Amino acid sequence: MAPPEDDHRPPPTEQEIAEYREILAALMARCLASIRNADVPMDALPLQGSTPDE
Amino acid sequence: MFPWMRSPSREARPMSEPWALGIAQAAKEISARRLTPVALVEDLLARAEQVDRKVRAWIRIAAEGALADARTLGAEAAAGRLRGPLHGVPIGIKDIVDTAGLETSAGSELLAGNIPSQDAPVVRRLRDAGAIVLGKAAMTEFASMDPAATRNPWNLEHTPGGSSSGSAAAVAAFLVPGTIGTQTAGSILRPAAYCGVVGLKPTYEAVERAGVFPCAWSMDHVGPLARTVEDTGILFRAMARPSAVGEGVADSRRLRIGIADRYFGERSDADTSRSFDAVVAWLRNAGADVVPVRLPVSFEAGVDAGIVTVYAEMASVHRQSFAAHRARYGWRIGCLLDAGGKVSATDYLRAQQLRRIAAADLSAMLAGVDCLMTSTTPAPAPRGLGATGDWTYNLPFSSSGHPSLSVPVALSASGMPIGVQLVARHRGEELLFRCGRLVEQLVKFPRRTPCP
Repeated sequence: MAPPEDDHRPPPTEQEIAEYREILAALMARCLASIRNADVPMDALPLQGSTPDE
Repeated sequence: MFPWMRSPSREARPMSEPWALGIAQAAKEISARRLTPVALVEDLLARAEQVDRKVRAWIRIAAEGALADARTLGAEAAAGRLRGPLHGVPIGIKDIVDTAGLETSAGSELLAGNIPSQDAPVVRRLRDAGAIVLGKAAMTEFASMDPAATRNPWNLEHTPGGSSSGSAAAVAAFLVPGTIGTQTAGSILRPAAYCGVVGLKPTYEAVERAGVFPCAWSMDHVGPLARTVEDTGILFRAMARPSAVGEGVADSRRLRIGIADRYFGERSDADTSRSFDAVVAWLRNAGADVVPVRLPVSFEAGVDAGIVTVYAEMASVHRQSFAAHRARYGWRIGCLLDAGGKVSATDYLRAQQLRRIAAADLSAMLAGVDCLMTSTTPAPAPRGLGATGDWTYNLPFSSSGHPSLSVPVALSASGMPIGVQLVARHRGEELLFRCGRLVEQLVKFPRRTPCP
């Protein structure tokens, strides 16, 4: 194999990492609020397993 | 008609080189003894030498092993013995799937040097059908968000998507006719759409996950990528559990295709919306019954539950290793594992309850149509290699477990591929192939190699 051409991507900056953490935290906060407040009947649900099979 | 669709200048030129053959074509040539597996492997190795230094779809090529297998399969073919529909056809395997004697590192330096002693069952099934493992396809680290070095063959400055980055780019760059990928959020369909190839995320558990390093186990799917719907179907039938392969659907069947009332399309850019509308119009003209459908009330909660599930299960998979080797993880997956480790048990369990409700509601909706059609992604592959794009249109069906298929339908004004996503009831892969073939026939997406 020929040697691959170099990948010149620079390492992330501290600011970049902090911003990514904020994005993930906001996404997770929104999703958790959504599932906690979901207006879906939760009674009589099978709790065994976690797979979405029919 | 749109200028980037059905343009004669974009049609494939006749290609007689072995590397340009698809799976069905190559298998036919080999069975007819007009092509030997060795000649095909050698041609693909030469093409990799020429092209992959730019695309970087392969993380590891198994030249010696592939040539040895090709010699064996060639002798069998010459004697009239064919193992199955993939006899002598080279394929690529995502680096997250175990291959006997061939390093499997899941895109992480932590697993460098990990050489499995046996094939994952899915690889074994493919070999039993006659496939040759040509190499391991590059991927994002642990199938998360830290990109591979792979570039998009349609424009090397754009991401190929992820996490099955190399699986999609290798097929698009004609480095191999078919590959195996995995999807937890959108990791088969998104790169397939970004790279202008076909990708299938099968029904959950239709393909065995044993021997596949977990990302988030209740949403991990293993599926094929190829350049045509026919080739994708051949791979799926060879790799799936036999009980998961349904009967074919006749081309004469009039298809009923649902268009969602919300969510999909809300983020789509102008090129993506226009190409989607064009496909809808062509399907109607072709006699398909295209109808609006209302997504279940539980749909968005099911999506959010899926996101919580991915975070929590990934954190669980990596808990011990991340604690011991934090500095050896990529920065994006590190942030994600930190976030996932904070999900409580009660929130995780509620997420599983919601996923079950949302999947059942979606099944009820899908029972009224042959398939649902959406755009595969909100926009074509973005410029830049630092991120792998948007999975929001794909994750709902990774969460629900319904099968989904991406078919390329257009090129954007900037020349990047755009796909549509077809979704069917559980075990409805053959319906997807029928719908996908119709879309493919109507659109005539260019099959030329996009590589320099």
